[in-house]
Amino acid sequence: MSPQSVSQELQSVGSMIKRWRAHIKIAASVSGVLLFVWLFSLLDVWLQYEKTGRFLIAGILWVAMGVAIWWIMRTVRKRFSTMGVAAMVEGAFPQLDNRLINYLQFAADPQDDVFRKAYVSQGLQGWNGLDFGEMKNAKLHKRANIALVVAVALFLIPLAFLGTAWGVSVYRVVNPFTNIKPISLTNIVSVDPGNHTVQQGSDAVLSVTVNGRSGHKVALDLALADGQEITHALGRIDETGTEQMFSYRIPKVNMETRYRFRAGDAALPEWYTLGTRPPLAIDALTVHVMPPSYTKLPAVTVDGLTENFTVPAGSTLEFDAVANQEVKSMLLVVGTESGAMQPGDLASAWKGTTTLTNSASLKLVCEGIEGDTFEQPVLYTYELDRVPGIRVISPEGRPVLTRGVPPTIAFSVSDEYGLQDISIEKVVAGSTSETKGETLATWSGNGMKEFTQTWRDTSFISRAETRLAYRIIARDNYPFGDEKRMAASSRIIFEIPSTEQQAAKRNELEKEAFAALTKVIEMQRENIAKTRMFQKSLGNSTPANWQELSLRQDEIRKLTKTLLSNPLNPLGTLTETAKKLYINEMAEVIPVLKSVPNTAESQRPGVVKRGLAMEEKILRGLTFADSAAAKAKVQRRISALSSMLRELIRKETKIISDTQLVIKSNAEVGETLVDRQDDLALDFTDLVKALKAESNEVRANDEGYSDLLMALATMAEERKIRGDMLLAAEQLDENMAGEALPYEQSALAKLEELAEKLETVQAMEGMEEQETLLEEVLEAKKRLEKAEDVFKKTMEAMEMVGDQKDKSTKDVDMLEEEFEEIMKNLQEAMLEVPTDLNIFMELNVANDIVEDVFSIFEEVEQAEGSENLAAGDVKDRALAKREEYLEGMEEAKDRLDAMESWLMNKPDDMKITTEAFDQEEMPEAGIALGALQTEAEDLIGDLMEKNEEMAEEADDSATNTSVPDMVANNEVKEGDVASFAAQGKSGNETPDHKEQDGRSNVGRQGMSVGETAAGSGTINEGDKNIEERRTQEPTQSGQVDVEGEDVKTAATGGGKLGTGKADEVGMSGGQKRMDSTEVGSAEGMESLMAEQADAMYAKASTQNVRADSLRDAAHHLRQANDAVARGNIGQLKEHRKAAIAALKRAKSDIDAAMTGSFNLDAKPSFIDDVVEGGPDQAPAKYRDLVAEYYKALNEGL
Amino acid sequence: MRFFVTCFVYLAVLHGAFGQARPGQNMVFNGSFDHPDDPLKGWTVNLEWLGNSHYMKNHTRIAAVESYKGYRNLAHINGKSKETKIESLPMKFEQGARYRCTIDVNGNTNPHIYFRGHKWQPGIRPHDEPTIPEMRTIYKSQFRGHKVQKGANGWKRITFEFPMEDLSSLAKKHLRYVRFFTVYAIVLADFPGEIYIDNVKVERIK
Repeated sequence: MSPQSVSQELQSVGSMIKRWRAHIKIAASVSGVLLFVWLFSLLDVWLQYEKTGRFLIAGILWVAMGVAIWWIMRTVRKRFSTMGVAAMVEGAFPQLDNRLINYLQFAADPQDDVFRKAYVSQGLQGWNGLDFGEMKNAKLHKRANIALVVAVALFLIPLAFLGTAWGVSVYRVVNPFTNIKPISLTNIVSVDPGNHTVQQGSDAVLSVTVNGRSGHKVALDLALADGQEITHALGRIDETGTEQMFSYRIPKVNMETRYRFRAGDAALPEWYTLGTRPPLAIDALTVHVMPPSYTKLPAVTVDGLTENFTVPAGSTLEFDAVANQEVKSMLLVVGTESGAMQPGDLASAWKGTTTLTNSASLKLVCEGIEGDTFEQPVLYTYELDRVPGIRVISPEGRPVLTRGVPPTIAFSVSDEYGLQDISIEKVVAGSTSETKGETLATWSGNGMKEFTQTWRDTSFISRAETRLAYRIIARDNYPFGDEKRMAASSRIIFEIPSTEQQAAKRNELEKEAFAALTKVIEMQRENIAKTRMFQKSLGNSTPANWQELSLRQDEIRKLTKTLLSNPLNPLGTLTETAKKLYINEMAEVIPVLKSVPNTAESQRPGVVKRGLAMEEKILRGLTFADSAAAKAKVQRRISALSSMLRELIRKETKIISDTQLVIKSNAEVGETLVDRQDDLALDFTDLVKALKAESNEVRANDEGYSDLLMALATMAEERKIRGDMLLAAEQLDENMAGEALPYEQSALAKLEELAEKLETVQAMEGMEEQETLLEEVLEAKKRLEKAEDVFKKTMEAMEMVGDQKDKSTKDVDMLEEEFEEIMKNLQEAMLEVPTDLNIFMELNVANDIVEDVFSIFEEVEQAEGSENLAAGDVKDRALAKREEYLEGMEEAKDRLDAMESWLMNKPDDMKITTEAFDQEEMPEAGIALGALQTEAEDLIGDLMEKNEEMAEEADDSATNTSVPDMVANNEVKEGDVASFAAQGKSGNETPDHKEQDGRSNVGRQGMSVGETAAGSGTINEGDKNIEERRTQEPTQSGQVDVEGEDVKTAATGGGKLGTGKADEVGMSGGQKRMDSTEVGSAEGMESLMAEQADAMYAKASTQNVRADSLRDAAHHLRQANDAVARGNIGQLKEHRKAAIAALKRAKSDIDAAMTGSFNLDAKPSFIDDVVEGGPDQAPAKYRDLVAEYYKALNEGL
Repeated sequence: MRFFVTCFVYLAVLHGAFGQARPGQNMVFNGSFDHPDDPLKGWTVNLEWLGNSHYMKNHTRIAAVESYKGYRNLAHINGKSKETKIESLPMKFEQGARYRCTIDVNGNTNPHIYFRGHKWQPGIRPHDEPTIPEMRTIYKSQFRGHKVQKGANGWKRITFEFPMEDLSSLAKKHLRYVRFFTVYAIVLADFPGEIYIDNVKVERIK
């Protein structure tokens, strides 16, 4: 055996060992892979991995396989060296005892060593016969093979049970890229809708079709976008092998939702997504409203989504709509008609146009890309061009005209866009509204929005016509209307009864009125008497007693309402006062009396006192009303007669001018002219009858007047005026106009003579009143002169005492005694004319007016015990002349602004005696008068209780230390300096009983020679012990209302008109207001109008004509004037509106009163001007509604 | 649940807009002088519109201060040189109701603090958010006889009510026209000094 053959043999052994090792690794690797695949395939059968899992498993498998292959290849590729194999052999066969190694090494390198050579040459002992198969690790091989067999067996066993399913699973595990589904008993056939997008908020139906084994469950998994996961069980499969569908409805899909169905062992399905899209909507809608040109309204652009806009009839509307997503189409639907809109630059922006001629509903309908639709209603208010609104201002109710007085209609027509023409037609009374009448007058509207007119029918009205009917027709400038488009007022019917009939009706109404008034007064007297009786025995009075009183007061109120509703206005100028009583005291006293039994005993006397005070006020008001009614009765008749006479003169004058025309044109005398002259003779007869009748009627109220009327009637008969008229008619009838003319002229002259006589009678009545007034003034003057003398002497005496160096108490005491004696005598002799009047100079009057005096009430709790201060508690303070004031009196500087004022909480306990300046010391030009404020603040509180003696003791002396202006601040009380700034306050104390000058606003009643600057205001309770006073200037305008309990006015200052218990009507104004500003200016115009309104009111009042509205108008005009001065346009507009409304009412009142006509069924208004925003101030379109509302309120009062 | 919350919110809003003041509810706007926009927001301090020479610079004498004697965010009314006044935002007056005001005051003079009742100026159309220039005072509550509770550092808590319980017919006559009312504080020219006010609270008590 050579070493070469040994080497070759070792090489063979090495290859064998390598194979063995490879075999083991292959077996191990294949087993491992098979077991891995087996395990995960088995799991896939049950778990049915999804892609991710499969990829993960396959990834691991592939990596493992790669590692195994690398591991095996590493073994296969490994090359053993001969020595290495020899070493392994030596290791396996120890008996070789390294001989193999030595042999091989010595053979390879003998080195000429004998030993080595010898060793080699001996050969390798024990080599032959070696069984290299023993080197194989049989145990390991066995195990590897077992593992392989087990792996293969395990791999194949499921095949027997699962069949194809096992193969599918193995394939799914091995090849993750395949989409092959795992085999299951139940399969999902289809899912609907799969991945889908629905409209947000809409519902969605999810359904699955399955085919599988009976009893397998079907479920739905929902995964909402907000993280919420829900599973719904849908049921079980009913029958094996049959397709079955399961559904689930999601009622509202608000967010993206993923879903999947599970069915039995069916492979897990993929998740589907149910996406949402926002609902189709209009994001922006701009509407351009272009009204028709005749309306002159500007085009407006509105937001059609948020605004409910107004569309005038005939307007063109342009729509710009932008949807929130692309839309396929958009329609503009008007009523039942629709028109396509045009797309804009974006598929979501669309445009459309339409013209609205009716109030059809309007909407945009759009269809989205997905086919869903959306309707966007457009809300608007269709404003019809309504026919003009006609408002008949007068007459109200059913007018009964005095024969001969032409029917007069005051009306206003308004239209929102302009009027075309207005006409008045005379229609047949009782005819239908369709019947066209005879047009008597036409006015062109010229596009005006409001037209106001007072029209008088001057055409000939035959005596046969006892009822006249008119209607007002108005057309607006609406261009699309036809002839029938017009507004027609209701019939305005005038009754013209015969003089006898009218007189009878008037007498009947007057009788009713006087009966009612007398009854009301009697009832009120009786109630007062009973109230006093129950007051005395309050403890014994029963609830029934007070209930009875309360019921009677209710009856009194109801009767007063009938009185106020009487068309004759029987209360004359006191109607307004009666209205106030009706609304206030008459209403308030009822619950007061009723509440007495239910009031705590301690408070009962107070409640009864209050009730009694109200009853007394009602009685006083009614008594005045009684007197006013009698006067009004006379005046009403005189006015009616005067009106009849004026109408006769007007008609005769017209007949004369027509006769002259006939003569001039040589024409034939018309029948109408003859009839007119005939009728006029009959009218004259009526006048004479009326004069006699009225003479008899007024005899009871005014005998002198009655005689004068009778004298006029006699004169009318004696002058044969009727004869002249009849003769003229006869001549005219015979077509002899020339002969008729002298008779006509004679009749006219006599009529004018008669009218002159009647006016003289009226003037005489006025003169009598003035004479009475003058006498009173002279008497007062005498008293004042006498007082002045006495006081001069007194003052001289006092000055003498003052000059004495030794001011002994004795002299002062004597002087005081003398002074008191003089006072006493004077009081008796001169009806309480103040003793210190002489210190006042002839005051100059500014004639400035504080238009707006407003009152603030201050709560004051009287200091405890202060009501018991006695005369002895009064402190005296004497002030000598203060020369420094003299200079200030001559100069009025800039107006001084007021500061905080407040009321005292205890009575004034200081008596201030001021040394007066001599008349000669006072400024020659009088006290300087500065401009007044346009508005002034009055401060008033409840009168404090105080001891009368103490109050009298604390009265200050009169003072002529004055200032043109002073800062009003601090406590409100009487001071020692008079102010001409008219900033005085009413306060909470009665004024000192002393003469007072300066300028004041209304305040509390008290004595004064000064000027009342307030344009209007309320006199409150004060010093009751006063005398009649007036400033020298009679031209100042304004009015002073008397309110409060038992307030008396003797003079109200200037030309102001006092109402209520003031002496008559105060002094008339009659002259131009001196505070009006530059002519032509807005303020000047307002002032002038206010002045005229005042003058008319004064005149109307003296004629016993109720025209309270004129007073209101003047008030509003002055406030408008002030608003101009202050630059307050908003206020100006409101005041002017109020003034216009008041003037309209006034005109109606005056027209009716001056003609002796009256309106039956006219309702009295209790709430005019009581609340802001009467019907006349409402916008035109709401005026009717507001008027209805007021009517209802009035009726409810 | 969502429905009830919505209803509640609506009711709360409606009540806030149209409801009556409830007893205990503070009716004064920014009575604690800590409004984030302006500490004096809602208070009438600028009286230039009056045209009254005494009050032309009224607003320069009133300031919001951050702290004073332990109080934070309050109004300082400096009436040392001129009469100075401050008035709250008008609050709606309900006929028949009575109101109580509490106010914390510190300073070196005795101001007049009271309620003022207002009606509309002539010609102003009524609306819900009047300002003082649109109103005309017609009623003043008492400034005397307030209940005073002394606190630390010279602070006083003043309490007063309006209108009086037993009203005269004259008072009723004026009160019936009152539409809004305010809290009014004035440092008088006759009693010059400075005051600090805070925690102005008005509640309906009847």
